[in-house]
Amino acid sequence: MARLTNIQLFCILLVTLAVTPYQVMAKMLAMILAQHGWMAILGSVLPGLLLVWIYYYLLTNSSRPFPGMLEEHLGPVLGKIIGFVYIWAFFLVVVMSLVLFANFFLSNVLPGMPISILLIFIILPAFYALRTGLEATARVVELIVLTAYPLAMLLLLFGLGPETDWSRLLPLGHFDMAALGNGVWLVSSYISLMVVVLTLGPFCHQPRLLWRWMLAVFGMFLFSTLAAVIIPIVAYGPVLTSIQTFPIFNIARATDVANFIHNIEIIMVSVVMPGVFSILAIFWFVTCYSAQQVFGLQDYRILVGPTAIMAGVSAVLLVPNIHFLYIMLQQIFPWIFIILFAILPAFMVPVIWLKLRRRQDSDSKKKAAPPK
Amino acid sequence: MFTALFFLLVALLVAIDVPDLRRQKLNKDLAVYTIFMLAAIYLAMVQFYHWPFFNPLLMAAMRMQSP
Amino acid sequence: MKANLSLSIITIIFLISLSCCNGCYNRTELEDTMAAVAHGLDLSADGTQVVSTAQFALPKSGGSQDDAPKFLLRSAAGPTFSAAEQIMSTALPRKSLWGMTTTFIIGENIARRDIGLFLDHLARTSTVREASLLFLAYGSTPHQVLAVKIPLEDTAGVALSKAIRTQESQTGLYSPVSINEFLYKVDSLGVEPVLPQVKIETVDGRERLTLSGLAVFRGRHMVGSLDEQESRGYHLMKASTRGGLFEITLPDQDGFGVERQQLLEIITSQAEVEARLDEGKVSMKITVSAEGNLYELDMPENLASLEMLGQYEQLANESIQRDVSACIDRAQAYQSDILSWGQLLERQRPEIWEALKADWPTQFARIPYEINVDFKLRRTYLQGQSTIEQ
Repeated sequence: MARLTNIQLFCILLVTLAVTPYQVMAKMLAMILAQHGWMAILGSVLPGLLLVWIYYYLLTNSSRPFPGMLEEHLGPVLGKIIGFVYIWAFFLVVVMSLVLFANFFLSNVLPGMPISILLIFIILPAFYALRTGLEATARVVELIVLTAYPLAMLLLLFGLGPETDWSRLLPLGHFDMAALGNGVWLVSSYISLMVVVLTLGPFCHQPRLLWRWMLAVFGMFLFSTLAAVIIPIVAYGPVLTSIQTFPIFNIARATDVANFIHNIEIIMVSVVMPGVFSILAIFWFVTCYSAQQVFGLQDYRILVGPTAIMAGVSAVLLVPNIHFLYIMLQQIFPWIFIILFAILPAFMVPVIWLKLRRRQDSDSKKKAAPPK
Repeated sequence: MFTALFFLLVALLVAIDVPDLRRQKLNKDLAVYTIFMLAAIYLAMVQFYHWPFFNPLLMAAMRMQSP
Repeated sequence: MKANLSLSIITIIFLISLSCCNGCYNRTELEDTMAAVAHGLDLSADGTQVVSTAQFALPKSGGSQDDAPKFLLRSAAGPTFSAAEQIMSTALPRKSLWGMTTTFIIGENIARRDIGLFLDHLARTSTVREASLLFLAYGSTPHQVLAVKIPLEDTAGVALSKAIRTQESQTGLYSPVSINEFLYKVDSLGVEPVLPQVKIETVDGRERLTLSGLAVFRGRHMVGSLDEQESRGYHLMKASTRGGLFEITLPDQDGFGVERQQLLEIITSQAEVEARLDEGKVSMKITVSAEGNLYELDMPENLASLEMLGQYEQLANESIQRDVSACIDRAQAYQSDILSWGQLLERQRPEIWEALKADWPTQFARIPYEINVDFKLRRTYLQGQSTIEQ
């Protein structure tokens, strides 16, 4: 069995959580909440902490990685059926990451490049990493986080140019509570991508200490997403942020540090690219690993080839244009994520608790019964 | 051209994966692999030859967009 | 070992298959391109088409460079600017490199007709850089502006972007307006954009470009201009500024009966605007705090007296107040909230803004205001006392 260090798992969880919101959350929250988008991130602290607790509870009270733990707690039949659904849910995240980056790249950098060629170039390194094994992928992700994450944050800070106006975040009050609820729902749905910890956590050296790392990841996610949401608002205002395709990219385009550092969007792309590789590789691994668990296969790696083709083609087939992509990101994926990655694991908590309670009762009855 | 390249790729993947599975007599693994590979080929054909394809996400998006 | 070999084979096949592609996508070879350094956007004379004007920088030739043309100017009309640029490209030997454009000149015709005609081109096109500067060709077309040869600089586009940056700290009249800022103000409620105007002047038979006033917009149209005094007032109403010169007129005349004017310099200034509510009526209180130096006297004075410095400060207060007031009056006359009072109201008194925003231009024009200026004279440069009196 492959082994991950806690720091590797931390890095994996961080890219899983932070990459997609870094690219699109500013626009989506500006569309819902205008200048109050950052409040939705603060509002998602409680749901996020709850999710961290749920995942940690499931991890510490299960002997098999997800989705095997479904069979462990819900029985083999129901467990396999739900596990089968999860294979496609994880696969959908793979497709989403591919499409999102392809659109990010083709909208801004090389609009003339065929999407098929670009998809091949994104899939190929992840394919290689997965065939090589989880440990190699984890090591690459570790390096990526240590180098790309600080740079990504630095590029955001560069966006705070002379035209930055912090008063664009005002007024603080006067927002629609329903819109805030919608924003919190949206942010929480992307926090639920931390569900991969249920699959990867058991590979860790010290699963009992995972809560610390999960909290640290959540904190880093809050920080980076807050920055990614606030900086476009103070630089462009809520209206422009909501109509730009990728506000973060516009930040990089407009960056001009002391009339010396500018035209740095290609650096932005080169920072996002390894991030996309990471989230792609992680969810692709979880997809194949879930299939291995559900179908009882000997090795997940045999599925990497067929799923590579499926992912590449699905990215073109399922998402015909960028307008549709944003509908998916804002309205369809959050439902899927919340139901499958948040509500269903939350439902398992009382199931496990009752099972443990029953086991404790039967144990105590056995102890209390007089020996024959 | 693209179709030929695609099938060359499929043949290569099969050549890499299948012999080991057969040698170890992992028939269930082979069956799952076959189903996934057929699904991949079908999706590719849908894309290459514009076969009809039901996209449930597109339907959901249409419903959400309609008033 | 075998798996690695297989992966290597797949990778090699992928790489070989790339040879089927037509080379690098969006490849641009330097020797096949010509960089557009300035871009003009206007309406055709009959108003049916838009006109795109491009100023391309020409590479320096090896021989005598003084007489060699330094730029190439081309215009084309079309239904959209991109279509016009396509038409333009059919008559150009090289590929146009639009991403190098740092200056955009908007024609007065299109600005008065509808800025929506060019906004999409500025906001959507990936080759347009949001940090590029915008100007308005006042009383002329972008083509005419870009055709003017500017000594020391190769192109008018570069000259204008340099000029507006340098004059800001020297004269304190105009600030550069980037595409980003313009789009923000157009798209936001409670604020309207302005653009620095470029005018062609003829001096000694030679044309030259000068920055002359600010174009004022309301909604999607240019509605008028601010003159130099109003532009200074607009500049001083910014949250903070640095640099700039202004004159004060002394009450007593010199021996020849001529008004005596002294030149003061603003080092820094800060403006604060506060929305007030008196008996249900909104008013604005503007406070300008500035520090400055005595820059030049038209008649030497004895500056030893604190009373005299105090008088200068008082006159400076009145001068700044006049400038700011002139700007506000003009903006209210145009019903154009270039001062972003609407946004201020939204931030300071959102409930009032909700009630007023539907009819904001009319409401803005009626808002009474009060201006308080506090100018402090700090230094007198190299001399304290007047040379003559000593």
